[in-house]
Amino acid sequence: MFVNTQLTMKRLVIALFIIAMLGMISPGLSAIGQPIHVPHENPATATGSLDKPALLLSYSKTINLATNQQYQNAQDVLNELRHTDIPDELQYIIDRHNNLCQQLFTTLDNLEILLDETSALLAQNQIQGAKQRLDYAEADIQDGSSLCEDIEAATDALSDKLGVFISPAVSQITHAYTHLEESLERLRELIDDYYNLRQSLTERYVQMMEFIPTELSLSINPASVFVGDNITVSGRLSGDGKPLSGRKLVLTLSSESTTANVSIPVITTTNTGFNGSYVTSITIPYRYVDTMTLIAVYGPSGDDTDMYLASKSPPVTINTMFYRTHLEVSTPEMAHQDLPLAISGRVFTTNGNVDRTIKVLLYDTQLAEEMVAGQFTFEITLPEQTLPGKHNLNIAVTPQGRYSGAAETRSINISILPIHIDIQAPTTILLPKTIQITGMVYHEFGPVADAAVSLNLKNSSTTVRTSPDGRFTTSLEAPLDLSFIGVQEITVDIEPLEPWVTKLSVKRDALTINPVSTGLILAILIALGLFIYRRSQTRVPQGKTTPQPEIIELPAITPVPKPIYKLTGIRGRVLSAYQSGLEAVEKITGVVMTPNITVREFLKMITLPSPTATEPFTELTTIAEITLYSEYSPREDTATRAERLATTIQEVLRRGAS
Amino acid sequence: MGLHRFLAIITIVLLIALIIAIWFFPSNEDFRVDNPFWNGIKDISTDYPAQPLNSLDDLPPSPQETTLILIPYLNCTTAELKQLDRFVSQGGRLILADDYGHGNQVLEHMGLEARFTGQILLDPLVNYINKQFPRIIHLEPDPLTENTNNLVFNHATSLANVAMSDTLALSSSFSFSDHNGNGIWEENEPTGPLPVISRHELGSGQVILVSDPSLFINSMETIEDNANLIHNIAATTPALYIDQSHLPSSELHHTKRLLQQARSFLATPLGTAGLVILVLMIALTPIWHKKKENSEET
Repeated sequence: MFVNTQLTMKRLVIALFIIAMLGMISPGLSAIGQPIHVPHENPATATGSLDKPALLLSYSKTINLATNQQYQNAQDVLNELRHTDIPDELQYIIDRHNNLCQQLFTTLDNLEILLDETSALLAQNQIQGAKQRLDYAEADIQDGSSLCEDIEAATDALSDKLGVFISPAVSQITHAYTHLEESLERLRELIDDYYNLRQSLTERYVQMMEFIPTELSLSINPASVFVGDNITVSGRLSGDGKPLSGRKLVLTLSSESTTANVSIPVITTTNTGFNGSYVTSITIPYRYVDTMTLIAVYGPSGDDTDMYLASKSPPVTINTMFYRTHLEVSTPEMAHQDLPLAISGRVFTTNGNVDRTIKVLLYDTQLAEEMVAGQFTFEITLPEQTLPGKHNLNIAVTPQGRYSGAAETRSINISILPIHIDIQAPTTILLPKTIQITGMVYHEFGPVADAAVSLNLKNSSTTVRTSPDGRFTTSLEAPLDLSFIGVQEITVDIEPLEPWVTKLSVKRDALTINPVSTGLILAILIALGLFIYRRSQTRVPQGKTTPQPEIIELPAITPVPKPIYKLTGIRGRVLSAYQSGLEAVEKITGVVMTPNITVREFLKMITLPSPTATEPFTELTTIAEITLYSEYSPREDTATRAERLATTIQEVLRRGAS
Repeated sequence: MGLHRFLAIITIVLLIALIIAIWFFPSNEDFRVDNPFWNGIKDISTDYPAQPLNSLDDLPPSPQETTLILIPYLNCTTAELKQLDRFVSQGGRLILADDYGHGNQVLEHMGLEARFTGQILLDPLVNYINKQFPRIIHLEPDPLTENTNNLVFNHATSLANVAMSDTLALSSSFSFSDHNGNGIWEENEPTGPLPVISRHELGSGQVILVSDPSLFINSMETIEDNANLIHNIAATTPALYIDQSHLPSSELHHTKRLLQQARSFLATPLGTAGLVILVLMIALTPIWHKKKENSEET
């Protein structure tokens, strides 16, 4: 019964522990199963399809931009559709639709430019070129109308494929289609507006055909001139063969733009004299190009606006002269920040050497400015913030009067300088200990000063800066911890101040011995060893000793006092009987039954002096064993039998002893 | 075996099993550097020398050119806001990546006009899988966007009050900010291009706003050119820090931290000595009991 209760208790305890542990883990399980909600989605499991209403609305949006004359924006937005994932069955029709829209937007953009230019020309009474532009505009209007019809057809085909016409009237896709229809209607209205504008410009052009044409001549002296010098400009304005006096003329001097600079025209004005002629002087600007072009323009104003047409002189070419400057430069391909960089070369012109200003720029940042004549050599230092990598160094000779400028660009690689370290650290460390570490940091040009040297050993770290000679000395705590004996890494990270010097990380191995941990573990092992040894000493003699008759005579062995149990019931009677018999046997044999010995083992260990005692004790042992370990409940007669056997044993042994 | 001994053994075994499971089971929390799953950012910390920060106190004293990625899903304290201020004003680069968190608190404190709108950015056409994954196709030339033509966001938001000159990336013209959350564009909802990445100079440093921290998670890092942007961030800084102190924590995370603290304590001399003494006491208990019994017998 007692055994059964014990087993039930154990099972209950296991069940309770499992429930308790599940309760402890359950908050963690929720975290394992489901992360806290954050708005993002696993792309591997996400799904999607083409948003059809959005596609139709996107066309509506692009066409609306076009109807607001934002043709470039409309084309840009249309280009963004390239990034859309289109199903294969829709790809062709969408591509076709996009192409038609692109063509229409380009045509309308061109048409608007043509009509604007025509309008500007006619506003200045210039009919030359206006007719051609009006003709081009007419062709564009026809193309635009045709493209608009094609887009409408493509829209219907696309809408059909997207299922617009079988969708309910209140659906999103129908709503989007309605928007698109409205946009296409506005597009047709826009083309009509352009048509009307062209018509009005054509009418204006026809009116101007009745105006009196004018003629304007232009000549210069001299034809070749140095930059900075003056030229004389003269000519005559006439209308229908008659001189036009007191009219304002605009003279424009322009030159071709070069890669170095964009040419801005020099504009000046003059008035015609009493016979329609004019004479004026123009200073040639310091632009180092071989030719410049001069043109004179008459634009009617005031009462002339409704009488004369505008006129333009034939362009006149001016040969400009200057002394060309040549620059030869030599720079190293590689450089380092903060280290001087030598630049050498030669500046020369077609008119001998003069003092010239030379500038060195890193992109737009000026690094140096020197006056040189002919050969030159000077040093520059790159700015601290210059990042490693390829950079462009611009060396420029500034223009000076009749001497042109010159410039050269050199690619320079600003490299990172590798550093090295010599380190002296102990190879064996007895924990805990403060260890001394010394070393030197250097690169190919010398020591690295002020570099941060960080040393780490386990959880201990320290940082020191190198002295001007690149040396450092520091101490590092090697702390006491759980380790015993092992190889540990001393990590050394060097971070120089200068960005053009590399960082460096090195590792050194050191044998660490922790005497405290090692000693304590040894103590534990010794204690455990002693414990095991003692236990084995207690067991082995009892298990192996063969009882000898003389042992019985040893009075020195005192039986261990037994705890007093109060045994009840039939089982109690049986066990009490066994205990009585056992006490008698222990007394006569001197062998004590310890808690680790079973009743059967005890029976094997003892040898009783006579069979009359051995047989009843053997039977009593069997009854006791059944009573203790079997689920069988002893009966009344079994208890009586056990009590008799115990009495027999006691009597036989008492007799034998006496 | 006695009941007490049985209870003690089963308790110890279960505790050890539990500790091992918690210690070795990887985190699965969003944006955690030790989370190798789709929603973690372990890949960044593995591919680049990024250092996780469990507290802003661990920011370097000289932050010139260093970069801090901050995902503010929890409010910052006043002291932390001051630390961020100091970090930026002394030359650090703060990458504030937020969508629906507390990024505006940081911006307000720093005196910047830019804001995270907090409204979901949807792109029904120019997207990766569906409209919640907008493709970012307008990228301004910049060292940060080098070799980057196309980014993909994941349930992002957009930025407001950002000047064009400060903008580094814009969503497509078809995107829109879904104010009422119905997933459909309506007349009053702003349409693209909307700013999603911007740069703001502040003191000697700069603040870069990214309207979607999910850009950095393991499952998004490899999509399109997202990896190039992250590479550019790492390549343009000598040190990269990833703040972990403003992310919500689960019980698993708390327990892991507790275990780490316990381990750290045991590594100290006091902890080590205590542990050794405890083990020694447990090992010697039977001997002590034996001696006690013997002395009682005599």
